[in-house]
Amino acid sequence: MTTVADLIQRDGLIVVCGSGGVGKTSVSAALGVLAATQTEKRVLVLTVDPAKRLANALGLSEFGNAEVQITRDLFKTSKTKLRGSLAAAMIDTKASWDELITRHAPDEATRNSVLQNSLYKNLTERFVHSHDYIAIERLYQAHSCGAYDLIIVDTPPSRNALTVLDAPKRMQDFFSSRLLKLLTANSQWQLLALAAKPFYEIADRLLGKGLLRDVAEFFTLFRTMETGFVERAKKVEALLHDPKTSFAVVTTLEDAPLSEAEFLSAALKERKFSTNLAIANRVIPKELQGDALVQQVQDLNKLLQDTALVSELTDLLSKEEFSAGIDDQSLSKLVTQTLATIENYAQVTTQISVMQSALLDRVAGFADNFVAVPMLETDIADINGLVALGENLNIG
Amino acid sequence: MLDRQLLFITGKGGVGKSTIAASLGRAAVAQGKRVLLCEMDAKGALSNLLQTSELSFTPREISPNLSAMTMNTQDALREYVSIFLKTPFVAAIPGLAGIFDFVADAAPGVKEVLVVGKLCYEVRKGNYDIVIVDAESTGHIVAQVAAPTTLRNFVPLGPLNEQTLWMTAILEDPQKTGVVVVTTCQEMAVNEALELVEALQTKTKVDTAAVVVNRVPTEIFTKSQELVFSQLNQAATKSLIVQKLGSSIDLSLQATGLARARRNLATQHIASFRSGLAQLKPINQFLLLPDFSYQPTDFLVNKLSGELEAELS
Repeated sequence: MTTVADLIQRDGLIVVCGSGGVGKTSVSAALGVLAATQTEKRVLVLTVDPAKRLANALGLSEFGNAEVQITRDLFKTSKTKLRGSLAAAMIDTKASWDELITRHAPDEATRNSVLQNSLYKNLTERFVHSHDYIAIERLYQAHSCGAYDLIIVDTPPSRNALTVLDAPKRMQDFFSSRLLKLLTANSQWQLLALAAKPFYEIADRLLGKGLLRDVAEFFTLFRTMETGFVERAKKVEALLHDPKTSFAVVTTLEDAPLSEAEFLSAALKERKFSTNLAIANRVIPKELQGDALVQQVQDLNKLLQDTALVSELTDLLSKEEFSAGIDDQSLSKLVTQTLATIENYAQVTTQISVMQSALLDRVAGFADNFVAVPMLETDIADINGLVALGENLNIG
Repeated sequence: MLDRQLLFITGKGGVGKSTIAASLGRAAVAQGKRVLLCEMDAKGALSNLLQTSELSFTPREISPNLSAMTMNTQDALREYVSIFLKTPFVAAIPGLAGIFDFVADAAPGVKEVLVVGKLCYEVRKGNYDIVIVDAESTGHIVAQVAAPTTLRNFVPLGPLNEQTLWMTAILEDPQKTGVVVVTTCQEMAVNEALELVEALQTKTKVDTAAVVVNRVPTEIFTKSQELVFSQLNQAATKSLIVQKLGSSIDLSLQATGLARARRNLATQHIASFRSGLAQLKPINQFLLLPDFSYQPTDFLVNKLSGELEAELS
């Protein structure tokens, strides 16, 4: 059974996956804050898509590709203090690709030709899921530089998380593919000799003349970087399979995100990763689950039947806040309406809670362990919000 | 918006795109239209919502006047080549389909044009009154609807270029085509929706038919009920209740307080969304749809399509 406390005690990686809109980014940031306040670790939170408010909560006006250290000052108003250190960064695909090309290019000429190739930007945005590759590459880079003990990665929503994990393998496959070899063969005339003529004809008719040649040219350049890329991809893959890497799946207790979480978890298993921890977010708070509230709803119903008590309550209200000239009868009616609404929402809460606990069984079905994080009254707007969410994660 | 012929339903992941697409489909059928629903990835969300078996590239009528299909680039390419280039499909040559796929991946707009082209083709054929697309999420939709134009700029000559002209004529006609941007009332979803509307307006000539805020929590109290609620939370009233009733109603108050706080948050985000939209070119329709989470799937689509019909009539 892996708990949040176990996760943050380990050095290594925590990969956080989940459907869109379940609070994955906040959970990742809160895990980072928790680790940096509970341990002396140097922690990095890598995210793909932070809300502006979340950046602000970390005391940053915005994230960039470079890692930014969160200052101790940020914790001034918090009872919890930084024991380790905390940094955050957002993955910028374009910038990361440029860095990568710069690193792997055998010489300056190749580097410049690649960076200036008109197809480069478009290609890096598309082929072999390059966003995903770059996310994982960025992760490896942060890991291997040795500046961090624990790295928490907030992956892209849902199924894309899987293409992220498959990216190193895809990159290796891509370089060893017949496709790339054909495309980058010394002369295109060789290709024609390979009975590819009809294809070229159609491709030219479809795409316009010469486009194919440009693409081939680009990949010929790109192939000179093969060794670097493939080695790197192998290392990244090994890192993901390292026992120090943990996977957490975040979900809310609703059917659609939960189905996604189950799908993700099954797919992780298929790739021989295990879901160490599931985090159920926005759960009805503990005190509102179970019989206590059910009992109180019944009591409230008694109160509604008790006209004498309702009028006593009405007498207690300070009338000056209400619109001028309101009479006792209308006020009493208003109290009854309000109490009925309260009864209704309390009842809805108990119903949701029953449904959530049924769905929680499904969460237990796919993860070694799970924690439930209560629904909050506000969005997370500052460091205290992140600290509080971290504490909730820790208590579970 | 249901009087258009092609609607792209888009938004951040998890906001309920598929649900809205399915519900709009049902609402259009209720208005007597012949509808084609198309999902862009084979995730199966749409078939689940419609409670039917897996969909394929060939449209299938799943209930009277409601057909559905799933998009597939390979099939779209095959169909495109056979219809427009009158050439036997290139996949007949072993190994070459893969290369084509790869190159199509590399050249800007080719895949998108095949996909968008298939949708426009369904509009042009006229077998359906409206084609509703459960489209790609925020990150891809702009590239998708702008693809014919992108491709035209990139490949100035050739048959594909010519083909893009009639597609653009359909896509850029606000009478015919519209994008429906769906969001929930969460901060990130709202911000992404705003950015998307702006990008659609500045980077494409495709009209934004409507903005839909999904899962809006219902209003809990009227203004004067609010006053009663806050006074019920005071010590004097609480102790009277304990004294007379023999038990407190604190948990009920807390539960209602939580629902109320969630509603207030939603209202704030909707307000900031509206003021953000006010900075942009006006949008034809702004719809708020109630929260039906925790409802069974079939019920959800029925309820939402009912709401949409009422809103749109």
